[in-house]
Amino acid sequence: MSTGLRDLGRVLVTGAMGFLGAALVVRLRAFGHEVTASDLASERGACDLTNFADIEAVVQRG
Amino acid sequence: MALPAARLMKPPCPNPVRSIPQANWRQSLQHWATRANTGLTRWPCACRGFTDPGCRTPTTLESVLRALLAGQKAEFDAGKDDITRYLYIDDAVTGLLSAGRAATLPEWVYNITAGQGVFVRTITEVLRGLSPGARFSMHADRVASGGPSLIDNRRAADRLEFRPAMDLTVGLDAYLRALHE
Repeated sequence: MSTGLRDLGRVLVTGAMGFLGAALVVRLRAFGHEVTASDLASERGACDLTNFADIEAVVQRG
Repeated sequence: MALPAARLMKPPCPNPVRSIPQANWRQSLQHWATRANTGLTRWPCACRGFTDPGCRTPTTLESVLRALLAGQKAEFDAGKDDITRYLYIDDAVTGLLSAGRAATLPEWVYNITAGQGVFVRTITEVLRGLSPGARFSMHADRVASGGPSLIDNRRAADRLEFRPAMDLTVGLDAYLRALHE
Protein backbone atom coordinates (compact mmCIF):
# COMPACT_ATOMS: atom_id res chain seq x y z
CA MET A 1 0.00 0.00 0.00
CA SER A 2 1.36 3.37 -0.97
CA THR A 3 1.78 5.96 1.76
CA GLY A 4 3.68 8.65 -0.12
CA LEU A 5 0.82 11.04 -0.68
CA ARG A 6 2.29 14.25 0.66
CA ASP A 7 2.04 15.88 -2.73
CA LEU A 8 -1.76 15.75 -2.85
CA GLY A 9 -2.49 18.52 -0.37
CA ARG A 10 -6.15 19.47 -0.12
CA VAL A 11 -8.47 17.04 -1.78
CA LEU A 12 -12.05 17.33 -3.02
CA VAL A 13 -13.73 13.93 -3.12
CA THR A 14 -16.87 13.71 -5.23
CA GLY A 15 -19.32 10.90 -4.57
CA ALA A 16 -17.98 10.89 -1.04
CA MET A 17 -21.04 9.24 0.45
CA GLY A 18 -20.82 6.22 -1.79
CA PHE A 19 -18.99 3.00 -1.07
CA LEU A 20 -15.78 3.88 -2.84
CA GLY A 21 -15.89 7.59 -2.05
CA ALA A 22 -16.33 6.98 1.66
CA ALA A 23 -13.41 4.55 1.71
CA LEU A 24 -11.29 7.07 -0.16
CA VAL A 25 -12.12 9.79 2.37
CA VAL A 26 -11.14 7.51 5.23
CA ARG A 27 -7.77 6.70 3.63
CA LEU A 28 -7.02 10.33 2.77
CA ARG A 29 -7.83 11.42 6.30
CA ALA A 30 -5.63 8.66 7.67
CA PHE A 31 -2.77 10.15 5.65
CA GLY A 32 -3.45 13.59 7.11
CA HIS A 33 -4.98 15.26 4.09
CA GLU A 34 -7.57 17.99 4.37
CA VAL A 35 -10.62 16.57 2.67
CA THR A 36 -13.69 18.34 1.36
CA ALA A 37 -16.41 15.85 0.61
CA SER A 38 -19.03 16.39 -2.05
CA ASP A 39 -22.01 14.26 -2.93
CA LEU A 40 -25.27 14.77 -4.75
CA ALA A 41 -27.04 13.30 -1.76
CA SER A 42 -25.87 16.21 0.35
CA GLU A 43 -27.57 19.54 -0.40
CA ARG A 44 -24.70 21.48 1.12
CA GLY A 45 -21.97 19.37 -0.40
CA ALA A 46 -23.46 19.01 -3.88
CA CYS A 47 -21.83 20.86 -6.73
CA ASP A 48 -21.82 20.99 -10.51
CA LEU A 49 -18.45 19.60 -11.57
CA THR A 50 -18.65 21.45 -14.88
CA ASN A 51 -18.87 24.76 -13.06
CA PHE A 52 -15.59 25.87 -11.50
CA ALA A 53 -17.24 28.60 -9.42
CA ASP A 54 -19.60 26.03 -8.00
CA ILE A 55 -16.74 23.71 -7.07
CA GLU A 56 -14.80 26.58 -5.55
CA ALA A 57 -17.81 27.57 -3.46
CA VAL A 58 -18.13 24.08 -2.01
CA VAL A 59 -14.42 23.92 -1.22
CA GLN A 60 -14.40 27.37 0.36
CA ARG A 61 -17.54 26.69 2.35
CA GLY A 62 -16.27 23.36 3.56
CA MET B 1 -26.26 28.99 -2.25
CA ALA B 2 -29.55 27.80 -3.68
CA LEU B 3 -29.02 24.77 -5.85
CA PRO B 4 -31.08 24.13 -8.98
CA ALA B 5 -33.57 21.33 -8.55
CA ALA B 6 -31.74 19.16 -11.05
CA ARG B 7 -28.65 19.20 -8.89
CA LEU B 8 -30.57 18.11 -5.82
CA MET B 9 -31.69 14.93 -7.53
CA LYS B 10 -30.23 11.82 -6.05
CA PRO B 11 -28.23 9.54 -8.31
CA PRO B 12 -30.22 6.73 -9.91
CA CYS B 13 -30.27 3.73 -7.62
CA PRO B 14 -31.38 0.36 -8.95
CA ASN B 15 -32.07 -0.94 -5.47
CA PRO B 16 -34.07 0.62 -2.67
CA VAL B 17 -32.21 3.52 -1.18
CA ARG B 18 -31.57 3.66 2.48
CA SER B 19 -31.54 7.11 3.94
CA ILE B 20 -30.04 7.12 7.35
CA PRO B 21 -29.42 9.91 9.83
CA GLN B 22 -26.02 11.49 9.56
CA ALA B 23 -25.03 10.36 13.04
CA ASN B 24 -25.80 6.76 12.20
CA TRP B 25 -23.99 7.05 8.91
CA ARG B 26 -20.89 8.38 10.59
CA GLN B 27 -21.13 5.66 13.17
CA SER B 28 -21.29 3.01 10.47
CA LEU B 29 -18.34 4.57 8.69
CA GLN B 30 -16.38 4.68 11.91
CA HIS B 31 -17.13 1.01 12.42
CA TRP B 32 -16.20 0.20 8.85
CA ALA B 33 -12.99 2.21 9.03
CA THR B 34 -11.86 0.37 12.11
CA ARG B 35 -12.59 -2.98 10.52
CA ALA B 36 -10.97 -2.11 7.22
CA ASN B 37 -7.49 -2.09 8.67
CA THR B 38 -7.04 1.58 7.94
CA GLY B 39 -5.45 2.13 11.31
CA LEU B 40 -8.21 4.47 12.36
CA THR B 41 -9.88 3.99 15.68
CA ARG B 42 -12.50 6.66 15.17
CA TRP B 43 -14.15 8.56 12.37
CA PRO B 44 -12.19 11.74 11.66
CA CYS B 45 -14.76 14.35 12.64
CA ALA B 46 -12.71 17.10 11.01
CA CYS B 47 -13.88 15.84 7.64
CA ARG B 48 -15.87 18.66 6.14
CA GLY B 49 -18.91 18.79 3.97
CA PHE B 50 -21.11 16.03 5.38
CA THR B 51 -24.29 17.71 6.43
CA ASP B 52 -27.19 15.62 5.33
CA PRO B 53 -28.58 12.13 5.45
CA GLY B 54 -26.85 9.91 2.96
CA CYS B 55 -27.92 7.82 0.02
CA ARG B 56 -26.09 4.56 -0.30
CA THR B 57 -26.95 1.78 -2.68
CA PRO B 58 -25.96 -1.69 -1.47
CA THR B 59 -23.68 -3.42 -3.92
CA THR B 60 -24.69 -6.81 -5.28
CA LEU B 61 -22.04 -8.43 -3.13
CA GLU B 62 -23.22 -6.62 -0.01
CA SER B 63 -26.78 -7.75 -0.65
CA VAL B 64 -25.62 -11.34 -1.11
CA LEU B 65 -23.54 -11.32 2.06
CA ARG B 66 -26.28 -9.71 4.13
CA ALA B 67 -28.70 -12.39 2.96
CA LEU B 68 -26.23 -15.09 4.02
CA LEU B 69 -25.77 -13.50 7.41
CA ALA B 70 -29.55 -13.40 7.82
CA GLY B 71 -29.76 -17.09 6.98
CA GLN B 72 -31.62 -16.32 3.77
CA LYS B 73 -31.09 -17.57 0.26
CA ALA B 74 -28.80 -15.16 -1.56
CA GLU B 75 -29.87 -14.18 -5.04
CA PHE B 76 -27.47 -13.72 -7.92
CA ASP B 77 -28.86 -12.08 -11.03
CA ALA B 78 -26.50 -14.25 -13.04
CA GLY B 79 -25.76 -17.80 -14.09
CA LYS B 80 -23.15 -19.99 -12.44
CA ASP B 81 -20.90 -19.79 -15.48
CA ASP B 82 -21.14 -16.04 -15.84
CA ILE B 83 -17.99 -14.07 -15.23
CA THR B 84 -17.65 -11.39 -12.64
CA ARG B 85 -14.69 -9.37 -11.50
CA TYR B 86 -13.67 -8.79 -7.99
CA LEU B 87 -11.70 -5.93 -6.53
CA TYR B 88 -11.37 -5.37 -2.81
CA ILE B 89 -12.28 -1.88 -1.66
CA ASP B 90 -8.84 -1.20 -0.19
CA ASP B 91 -7.22 -2.09 -3.49
CA ALA B 92 -9.62 0.18 -5.35
CA VAL B 93 -8.72 3.07 -3.04
CA THR B 94 -5.02 2.33 -3.45
CA GLY B 95 -5.42 2.49 -7.21
CA LEU B 96 -7.27 5.79 -7.05
CA LEU B 97 -4.66 7.32 -4.78
CA SER B 98 -1.86 6.06 -7.00
CA ALA B 99 -3.50 7.84 -9.92
CA GLY B 100 -4.04 10.94 -7.80
CA ARG B 101 -0.39 11.27 -6.87
CA ALA B 102 1.02 10.35 -10.26
CA ALA B 103 3.10 13.17 -11.68
CA THR B 104 1.55 12.71 -15.08
CA LEU B 105 -1.20 10.57 -16.54
CA PRO B 106 -0.44 10.45 -20.25
CA GLU B 107 -3.23 7.97 -20.99
CA TRP B 108 -6.94 8.41 -20.46
CA VAL B 109 -7.72 4.96 -19.11
CA TYR B 110 -6.05 2.84 -16.42
CA ASN B 111 -7.63 -0.44 -15.46
CA ILE B 112 -7.73 -0.75 -11.69
CA THR B 113 -8.77 -4.36 -11.38
CA ALA B 114 -7.74 -7.63 -9.85
CA GLY B 115 -7.13 -8.79 -13.39
CA GLN B 116 -8.60 -12.24 -13.77
CA GLY B 117 -12.35 -12.64 -14.04
CA VAL B 118 -13.94 -15.31 -11.87
CA PHE B 119 -16.96 -17.51 -12.38
CA VAL B 120 -19.99 -16.77 -10.25
CA ARG B 121 -19.85 -20.40 -9.17
CA THR B 122 -16.36 -19.76 -7.82
CA ILE B 123 -17.76 -16.97 -5.68
CA THR B 124 -20.47 -19.25 -4.33
CA GLU B 125 -17.97 -22.02 -3.62
CA VAL B 126 -15.82 -19.65 -1.62
CA LEU B 127 -18.83 -18.33 0.25
CA ARG B 128 -19.98 -21.87 1.07
CA GLY B 129 -16.57 -22.48 2.55
CA LEU B 130 -16.82 -19.32 4.64
CA SER B 131 -20.46 -19.73 5.54
CA PRO B 132 -21.44 -23.40 5.71
CA GLY B 133 -25.04 -23.97 4.76
CA ALA B 134 -25.14 -20.93 2.51
CA ARG B 135 -27.89 -21.13 -0.10
CA PHE B 136 -27.93 -19.38 -3.44
CA SER B 137 -30.34 -18.85 -6.27
CA MET B 138 -29.28 -17.93 -9.78
CA HIS B 139 -30.37 -18.32 -13.36
CA ALA B 140 -30.06 -22.05 -13.96
CA ASP B 141 -30.42 -21.96 -17.72
CA ARG B 142 -28.26 -18.97 -18.43
CA VAL B 143 -25.54 -19.70 -20.96
CA ALA B 144 -22.34 -17.83 -20.36
CA SER B 145 -20.85 -16.00 -23.31
CA GLY B 146 -17.28 -17.05 -22.66
CA GLY B 147 -14.64 -18.17 -20.21
CA PRO B 148 -12.64 -16.15 -17.74
CA SER B 149 -11.17 -13.08 -19.32
CA LEU B 150 -8.20 -11.06 -18.32
CA ILE B 151 -8.48 -7.31 -18.02
CA ASP B 152 -5.18 -5.83 -18.99
CA ASN B 153 -3.96 -3.73 -16.10
CA ARG B 154 -0.33 -3.53 -17.25
CA ARG B 155 -0.73 0.18 -17.84
CA ALA B 156 -1.76 0.73 -14.22
CA ALA B 157 1.03 -1.55 -13.07
CA ASP B 158 3.67 0.24 -15.14
CA ARG B 159 2.56 3.83 -14.71
CA LEU B 160 0.95 3.76 -11.28
CA GLU B 161 2.76 0.81 -9.73
CA PHE B 162 -0.68 -0.58 -8.92
CA ARG B 163 -0.73 -4.12 -7.57
CA PRO B 164 -3.99 -5.60 -6.26
CA ALA B 165 -3.12 -7.14 -2.92
CA MET B 166 -6.27 -8.78 -1.61
CA ASP B 167 -6.96 -12.43 -2.34
CA LEU B 168 -10.56 -13.30 -3.24
CA THR B 169 -11.13 -15.66 -0.31
CA VAL B 170 -9.46 -13.40 2.23
CA GLY B 171 -11.35 -10.39 0.90
CA LEU B 172 -14.72 -12.10 1.02
CA ASP B 173 -13.99 -13.34 4.52
CA ALA B 174 -13.03 -9.83 5.66
CA TYR B 175 -16.17 -8.32 4.13
CA LEU B 176 -18.38 -10.99 5.65
CA ARG B 177 -16.85 -10.42 9.07
CA ALA B 178 -17.18 -6.65 8.77
CA LEU B 179 -20.87 -6.89 7.94
CA HIS B 180 -21.41 -9.44 10.72
CA GLU B 181 -19.79 -7.25 13.36
